[in-house]
Amino acid sequence: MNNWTLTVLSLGILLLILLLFKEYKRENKARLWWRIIATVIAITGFICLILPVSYMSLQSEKNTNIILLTPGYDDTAVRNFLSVNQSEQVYSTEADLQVSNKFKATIINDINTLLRNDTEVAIHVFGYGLPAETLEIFHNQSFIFHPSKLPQGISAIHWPAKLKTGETIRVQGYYNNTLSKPVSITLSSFNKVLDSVIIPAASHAPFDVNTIPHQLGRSVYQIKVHLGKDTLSQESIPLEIERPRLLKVLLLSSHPDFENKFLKNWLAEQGHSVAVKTVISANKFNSGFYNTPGAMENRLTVGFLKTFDVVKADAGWFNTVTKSEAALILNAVAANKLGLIVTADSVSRNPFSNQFPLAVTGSSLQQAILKTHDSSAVLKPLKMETPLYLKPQNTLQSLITDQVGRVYAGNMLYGSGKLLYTTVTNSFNWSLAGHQNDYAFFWTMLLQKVAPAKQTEEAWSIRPFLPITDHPVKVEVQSGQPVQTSAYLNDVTVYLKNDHTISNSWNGNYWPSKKGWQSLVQFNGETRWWYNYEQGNWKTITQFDRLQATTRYALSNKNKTDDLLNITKKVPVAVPGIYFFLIILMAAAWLWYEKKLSL
Amino acid sequence: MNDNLQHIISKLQTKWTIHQVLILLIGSLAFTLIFLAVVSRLLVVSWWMMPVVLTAGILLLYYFWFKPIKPADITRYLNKTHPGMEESADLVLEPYDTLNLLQQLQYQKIVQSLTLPVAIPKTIVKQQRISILILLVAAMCSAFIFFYPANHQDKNLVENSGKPVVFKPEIILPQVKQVTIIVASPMYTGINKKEQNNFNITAAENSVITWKITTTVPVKKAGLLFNDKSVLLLKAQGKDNMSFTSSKQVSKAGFYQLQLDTSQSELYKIEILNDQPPSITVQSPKPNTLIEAGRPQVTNIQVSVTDDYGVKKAFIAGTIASGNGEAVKFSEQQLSFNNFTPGKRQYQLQKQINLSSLGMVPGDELYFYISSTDNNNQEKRSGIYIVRLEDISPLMSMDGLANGLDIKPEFFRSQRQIIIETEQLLKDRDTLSVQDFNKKSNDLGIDQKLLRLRYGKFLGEETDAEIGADHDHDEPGHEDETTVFSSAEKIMEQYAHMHDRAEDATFFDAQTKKQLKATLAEMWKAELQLRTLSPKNALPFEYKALKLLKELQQQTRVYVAKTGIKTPALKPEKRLTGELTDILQPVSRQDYKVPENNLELLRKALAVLALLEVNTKPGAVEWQILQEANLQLATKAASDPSGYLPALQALQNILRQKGSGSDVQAAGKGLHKMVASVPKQPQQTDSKPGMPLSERYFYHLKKRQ
Repeated sequence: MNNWTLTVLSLGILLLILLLFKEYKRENKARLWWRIIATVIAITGFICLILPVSYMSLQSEKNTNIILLTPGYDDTAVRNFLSVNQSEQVYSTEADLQVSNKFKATIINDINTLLRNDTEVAIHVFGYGLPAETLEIFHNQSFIFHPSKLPQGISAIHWPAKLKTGETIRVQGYYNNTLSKPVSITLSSFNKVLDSVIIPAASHAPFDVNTIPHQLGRSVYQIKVHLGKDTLSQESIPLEIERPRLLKVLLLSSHPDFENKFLKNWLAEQGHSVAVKTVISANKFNSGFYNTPGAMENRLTVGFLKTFDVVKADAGWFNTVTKSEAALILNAVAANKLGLIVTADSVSRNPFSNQFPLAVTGSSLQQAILKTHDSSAVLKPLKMETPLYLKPQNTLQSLITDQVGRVYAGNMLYGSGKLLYTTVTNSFNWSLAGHQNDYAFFWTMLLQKVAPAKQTEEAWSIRPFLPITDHPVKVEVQSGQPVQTSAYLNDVTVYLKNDHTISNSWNGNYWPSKKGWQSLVQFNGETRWWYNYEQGNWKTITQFDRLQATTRYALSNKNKTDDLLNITKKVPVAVPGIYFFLIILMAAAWLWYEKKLSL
Repeated sequence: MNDNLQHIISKLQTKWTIHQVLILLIGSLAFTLIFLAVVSRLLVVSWWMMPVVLTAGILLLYYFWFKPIKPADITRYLNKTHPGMEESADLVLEPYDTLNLLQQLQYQKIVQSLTLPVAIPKTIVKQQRISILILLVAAMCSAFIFFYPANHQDKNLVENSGKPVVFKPEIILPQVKQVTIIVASPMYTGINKKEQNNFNITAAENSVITWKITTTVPVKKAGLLFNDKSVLLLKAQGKDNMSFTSSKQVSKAGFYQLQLDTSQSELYKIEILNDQPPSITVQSPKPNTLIEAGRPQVTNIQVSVTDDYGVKKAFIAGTIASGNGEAVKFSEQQLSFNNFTPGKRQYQLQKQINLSSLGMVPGDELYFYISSTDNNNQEKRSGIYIVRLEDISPLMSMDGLANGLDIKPEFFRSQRQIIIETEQLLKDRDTLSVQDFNKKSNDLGIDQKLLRLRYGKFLGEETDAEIGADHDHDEPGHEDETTVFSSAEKIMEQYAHMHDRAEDATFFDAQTKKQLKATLAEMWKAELQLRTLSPKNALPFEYKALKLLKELQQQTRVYVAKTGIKTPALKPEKRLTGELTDILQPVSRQDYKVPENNLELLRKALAVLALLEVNTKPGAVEWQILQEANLQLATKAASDPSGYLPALQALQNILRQKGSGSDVQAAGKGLHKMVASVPKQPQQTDSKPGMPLSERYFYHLKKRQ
């Protein structure tokens, strides 16, 4: 309280006392109290008029808006924003002069120039946004994203870059069609269309094109988008097809039958190693070794079983052999990841009735139409004399079912390996009827399901999935062995560092400089190939990724942004003098009027 | 004045008529154009048809549309259009003298009111305009129909061999000035020599092709390289080394290149139209025909034979099998068609074979096929057809019935008896009088009826109680017999619950009844023929009835199996306990060679092309793969030039380091087509290098259990 205030207050109080005294002395005592009140009000108002009266109020701070234009921004959105809000400056990452002219934007090459220490700066990003790796620098600032609409094109895509012979390549992804007409997506090789799908008009729809590649080695397929006869876009699908890694299969049978004979022939003709052991009399076996050396002993041994990937046995086998021999096989499944396929032909003599309870279908001699459990493939009808099926179990993964969903082949985990049970005992009928494809499909599916995966010494990966020239790629290797600390990519040495979370993972960065196949020499000396795209390829995917990354960042940063935008202060607000003047006037008017009344 | 009006009228009449004739001509011309254009699409049209059709059109229009203009029409028109005529123009047509006074006055009044020129009616002018319009439209239509490209093509490519269908313009070496290729088809085809000026050739098998090539510059060595293997040198004609010729007989499809000194042309294809063997379609008889006893023993063979160049020979090769069991005999016969003359492309052949004239007796079988040979000595045989004569001997044999006593029912002649007697009657026909013949035939008919009624009983058919009442046969015991039958029925009635339907009240099952009914139907037909005095026609029905009766007899016999043999009881404890120590356990070993097969080579070659597609330079090993794939593609192209020649051409360009992007794609497409499909097979998948941590976890998890 300074002197001036004190002076005014004391003078005011003196004046009040004087006036009150005068009132008291006044002869006309009518309405005395009213007059006193009016006087007090008048003097109070007078004091307030002279002294600045203020109150404390909460007020938000004024932010500074910075606009950043990224590719694909919408003109009208920016203009609307500018008409409502004030903005200090407009920046653009697009090196396009027209843009900078339109909004008087400053083109920036380094996003770091936008960084301010001042938290009062709000950054408004227009367009498809920024790449994920550059977004982190805004963590101290309010960040608001004004996304543009999804561009026309492929917004997401994936395919397996490495395949084995006979495997299907599936190119799957999403396409955003903003046009009012449907477009078609084709997968082609040497300009020969192998598969195609139609994307309906105005939709963001998934697509899936697939084919079995004919090549052996590296190849580049094309994915093209057509609108009528026009090609809208075209991108490369690099893939590498390898030779199949052959299996070692042991076929055990309690009696000679066609099923094993056909399976043995089919596998051996493809080069797989097959050993056959068939009971022909008490303790007498017929054995055969195809594409593999070896000698059969009367009893199976651990060492012998270790040389196989998959054992196929019929249920009768488990009934003829001793318990210890059966336990030997099961141990090998549990401990050594051996795959075991059992074919069962009767409910009563089912050695695995706990794990795989069986049931008989009502009708006999029926034509079963078998299909994969997800109906992705339907096999030709198979005549089955005693149709058994597997009762559903919690632990059972159904593989082959019939039209009404009865399971004819299913598998479950058993220790580190897999147990597969099937009630199809006459699949060779497919082969006899000329449906070799169905036969191959059936056994490929079963064998591949239980065959243990071969553990590789080193697993290399290149990230991102679609590397682009002049953008860094991350070379990553997981290895069971102690690794060298450098890798060779296109004869350039890349030094690797150990990942701090995963002990056997190492990574390094590489900047590809030209498009096409790039080499990477593995630790074991083999060359691994990967494909690099040039700038401008997969544009819509980059845009979509940025949209997603920026949206996600804006969302994760939303709380902070809101906080920053809502910082408030208590600010003294002066009450305008006019109010006090009016109070004085009213009080004076009352005093004057009262005088008139008493006359 | 009179003359004036008359003159106007006659002038108008002429003018009007001329217009009408014009319309007539225009209309018929339009008709002619359309008609001829349409006809030209279907048939061959020559120019003389034009006036014929035109005349026909004129006549048609004249008949249906044209009306000659009479003076009365003119005056009616004048009355209508010229008010000055005061509806009296008709007066002009009458002789002036015959008019009465009033008419004469009126006449003079109207004569002055009409002056020349008088316009012809507007409707005619309008019609004329329309007709011209129609002519224009017709002309356009007919031009469209006439010149619109025909889409029907001659199916026979041989006819087109002179101008093969070229899908791509040929690229000819710049040194070549002119080429003439003469395709001489073999004699048997009957195709004339063809000359052509392009290199791609389509020819009949074994054609001799002569190349005559003229060059712009002298060439030292000229030759044709066939399928990348054999070279045919072209002989120089004259001393300037500028014209060459050579010829070669081609029997296989393939491709060739022209080599002039060091330069090589692109690949040209040779397509071969193979001579097909004749095709034979047998329209009758059916593959397996049975001629029932009593039917005429004749079979009618109808065959259509076609060949692409002409048939030389066609005949029926027949084999007759007679006898049965071990005594079966075969005799072969070759029969020719009557209406066959060699050399034509298409035949409709016919032959009627009288089986008895071939020496066939009932029970014999005739096997035959049609054989046809074309001009190129290619023989084709039809399937085997069988014609059987029904064997009646087992029906007639009494083997099963023979026993000591030969009991012949007096009045019930058996079906067999009826047949024998019918045949006898037919044999005796010449010696019998007509009355006797007719009487015997009728009697047989009655016998047939009796038999039918007898079997009808079994079926519970309405009994003709008075058998023989409609005729007077002396058949003693006849009445008694019927009473016996009816009494049997009466006895049955006492026990059976018979009402409503007589048919259902028998002891037979449905199947037997059905057959019995069929038998009765045949008997009824036979009786009909016998009673109408044509025993010859009755025979087939009689036989059929006998056959059905025999079948019925056979059916009633029931097979009773022998009672089972007794086997000693098994001793399960002794099973599989035999001494096996000396028995060796068989072990088989085999290594299936999975060769570095062609498929894999092609697949590798595809990958090499894929590298070329992205402009990656392949190494020496990859070039070697392409070279080998090229050999395979060349073999494939030689057998299917139209499918693989473009790919081969492209691949060769690539191997010569001259390949463009489109070559890579063309070659890739060809190889892709050759690979066709990659079989599915099981294989081991890869997993990432193991982390000891997870294995330890699994180990401890197991220990817990």
